[in-house]
Amino acid sequence: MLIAKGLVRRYGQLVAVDHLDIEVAPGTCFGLLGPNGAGKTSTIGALVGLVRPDEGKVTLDGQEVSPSDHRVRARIGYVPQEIAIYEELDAKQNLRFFAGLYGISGPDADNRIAEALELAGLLNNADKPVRTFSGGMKRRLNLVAALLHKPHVLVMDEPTVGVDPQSRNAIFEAVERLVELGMTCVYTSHYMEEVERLCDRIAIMDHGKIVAQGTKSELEKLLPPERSMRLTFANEDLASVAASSLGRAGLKASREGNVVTTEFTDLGAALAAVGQACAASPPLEMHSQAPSLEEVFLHLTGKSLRD
Amino acid sequence: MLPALLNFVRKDLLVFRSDRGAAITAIVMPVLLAVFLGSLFGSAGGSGEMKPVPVIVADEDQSEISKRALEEMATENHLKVTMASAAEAKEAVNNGKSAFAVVVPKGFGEQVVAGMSSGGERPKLQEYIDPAQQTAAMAGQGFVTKAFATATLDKAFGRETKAGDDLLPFKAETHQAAAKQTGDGEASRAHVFAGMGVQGVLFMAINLAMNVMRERRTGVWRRVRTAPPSLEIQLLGRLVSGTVVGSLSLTCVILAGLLTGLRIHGSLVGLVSIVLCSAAMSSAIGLAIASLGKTEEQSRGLSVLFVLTMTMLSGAWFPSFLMPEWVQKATLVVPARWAVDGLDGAIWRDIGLSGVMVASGVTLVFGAVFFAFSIWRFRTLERAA
Repeated sequence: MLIAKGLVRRYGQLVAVDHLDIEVAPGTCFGLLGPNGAGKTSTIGALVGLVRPDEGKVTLDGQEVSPSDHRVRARIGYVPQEIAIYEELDAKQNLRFFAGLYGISGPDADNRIAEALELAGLLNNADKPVRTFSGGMKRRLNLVAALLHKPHVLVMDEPTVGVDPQSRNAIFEAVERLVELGMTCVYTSHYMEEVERLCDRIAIMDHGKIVAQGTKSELEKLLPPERSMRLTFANEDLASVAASSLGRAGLKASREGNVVTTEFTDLGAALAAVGQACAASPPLEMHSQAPSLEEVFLHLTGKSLRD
Repeated sequence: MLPALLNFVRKDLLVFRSDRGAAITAIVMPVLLAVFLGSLFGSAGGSGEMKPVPVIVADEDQSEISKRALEEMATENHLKVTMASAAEAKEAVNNGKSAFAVVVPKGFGEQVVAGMSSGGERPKLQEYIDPAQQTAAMAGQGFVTKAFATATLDKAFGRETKAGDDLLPFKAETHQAAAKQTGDGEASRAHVFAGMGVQGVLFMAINLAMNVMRERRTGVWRRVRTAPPSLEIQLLGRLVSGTVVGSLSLTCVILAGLLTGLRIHGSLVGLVSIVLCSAAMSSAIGLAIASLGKTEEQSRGLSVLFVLTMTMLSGAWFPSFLMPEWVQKATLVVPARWAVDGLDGAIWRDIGLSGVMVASGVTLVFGAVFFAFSIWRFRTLERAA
C-alpha cells in the first residue's frame, strides 16, 4: 500500500502541496488529475522519494519513502513527464544503463531488456540510436526503462504527452497489462479519457490540495443532480408546442429556434414525459450526455483540466 | 558501489563515443591547434641552436677602434652583421627589419683615446632598438658593447688578441637554466603542446557541463536521482569518465607532439601523473559549472569566457614567466597554471619528478575543491527542487 499522509511542500511563501492525503491499494491504478500548477509534480517527487516533504510522509508497505533510503526507492519505478533517455545511445544501451542503476547486469539484464523491448514493441529497433526514433517509440522506451527492476509501484507523470494515437494505445495496453499482473500504478495526465480508462480511483488536485477522490462513479455523484436534454424539431412552431407541453408535464423547458432544452433529474421519467408531450410531433433528434469527469473537474475547480 | 560507478562511466563514454562534436572539441581541436602553433614556434628555432641576431652597423668613424670592433663582431657566431649607412641603419630598425642598429660617429675612436688619456668627455655610440623585438635587440646590444669594449681595451693595453674574453678577469659560461638540453625552439614547441593540451581539457570540461545541464533539462537527471545510487556516486562517475576523456585528449596532443618531433625529457611517471590530475581537475571544473548554470545557452557563453581567461592566466598561450611578477604570483591560484607548469616540467623544464608531483598534487587539490563544491551545490539544488 502506498500512502501519503499530511504531505506539505513549501517553496518560500508558496505552498505547492497542502496537507495532501492519498492511499493507493496494491494492484490498482490511481489517477492524479489537476491543472498546471496544482502541485502534481511536487507530489510525484515526494512519492518517488526525490523530494523530502516539509511535513507528512510517504510510506510504501509501512516503509518510509525518503531521498536517503535507497532500498525502498528501488521498489518504485518512475516515468518522468519528459522523454528522459539518452538520444545518443541505442535502445539497448539505454536499457542496460537504467538496469545497471538498480544493480542488474549480465544475463539477468539481457533477459529483462529483451522483455522490456518486447513490451515496448521495439525489438526490431533495439540497436538503433534513440535520436532516430519517432516520438511514440521514445515514449514507449521511456516507459519500459522504468520497469527493468520490476518495481512494486510505477509512478507515471503524463506518460503520453505528444504521442500518436497508436503509441498511446500501446502505452494504455502496457499499463493495463502491468496492473493485471499486480503492479500498483500512479498515473497523472491532462487527458481525462486516459484516467477514466486506466484508473480505479482518481484524485482531483487543485492549489496543492485534493479537492475530491474516489472511483469514477463516486466522483460523478458530486455533480448536481440536474441533467439536460436537447430536442431538435423540424421547425420553430413544433418546438414551441413541445416546449409548452413539457412545461405542462412539470419539466423545465426553454426554446431557442427549433431547439428545446429541458432539465431533469430522472432520465426514465424525463423520457416518458417527452414521449407523451411530443407524441403528435416527435423531435428529429434527442441528445443527452452522461456526467463526465471533465464536468466533475470543472464543477470542483472552476476551470478546465487543460487550463 | 563499484558496479554502480562503472555503470555511469560506461554510459558517459558511450555517449562521448557517439557525440562527434564532443570528440572534435576534446581531441581534434587541441591536436590541430598544438600542431599548428607548435610548427610556428618550432620554425623559430627548431634546430636547438640560437639563431644569429641581425645587427646593422654604420661605421662613419673608420678608426682603428671601430675596425677592431667590427673584427670582433665578425668572430661572434651569435651575430649577423650587415654594414649600412647611418640613414639606412635607422630606417631598418624603424621598419622592423632589424632589431638593433649601431652608428659609430665620426671621431669616435679619437675621442675614446683622448678620453682614456685626459679624462675628457666620453664619445657616444648611436644605438637604435626596435621595441617590438626587445629580446633580440638586447642580445645584439650586448654583443656590440662587448666588441667595442674589447677593441678599446686592445687599444689601451696595446695588445692584439683574438679573443676579447681573455682580457676580462672572469669568464662567463652560458647555460639554458630551466630546460633539459633543449633549444629555444623545442622548449617553445613543448610549451605550446602543454598549453594547448590544457586548453583542450578545459574545453572538454565545458562539454561535460553542457551534458549534465542537458540531462537536467530533459529529466534524465531527475529520473536517475530516483534510482538507488547516491548523488556522490553519480557525480564521481562523471568525474571518472571526464578524467578518461580528458586524459585521452591530453595523450593525443602529446602523441601528436611526439610525431612532429617533440621529445619527452622528463619522467614518464610524472607525465602520467600530471595528465591524470589535469584531466580530473578539468572534469571537476565542468561539474562545478554545471551546478551553477541555469540554462545551457547562458552557461556556455560564460564558461567559454571563464576557460579562456583561465587559460590565458595559466600561461597556456605564452609562458607565465613572461608576465609581470605580480601576475605570476597572482596566477598561482589559477588551477590551470599548475597543470601547464606540471606538463612543462614533465616534458621539458628541469624541475625534476618531485616538481611535477607537486604540480600534480596542487592540481588534484584544486580538483577536489571543485568536486566538493559541486556535491554541495547539487545537494542544495535538490533540496530546493
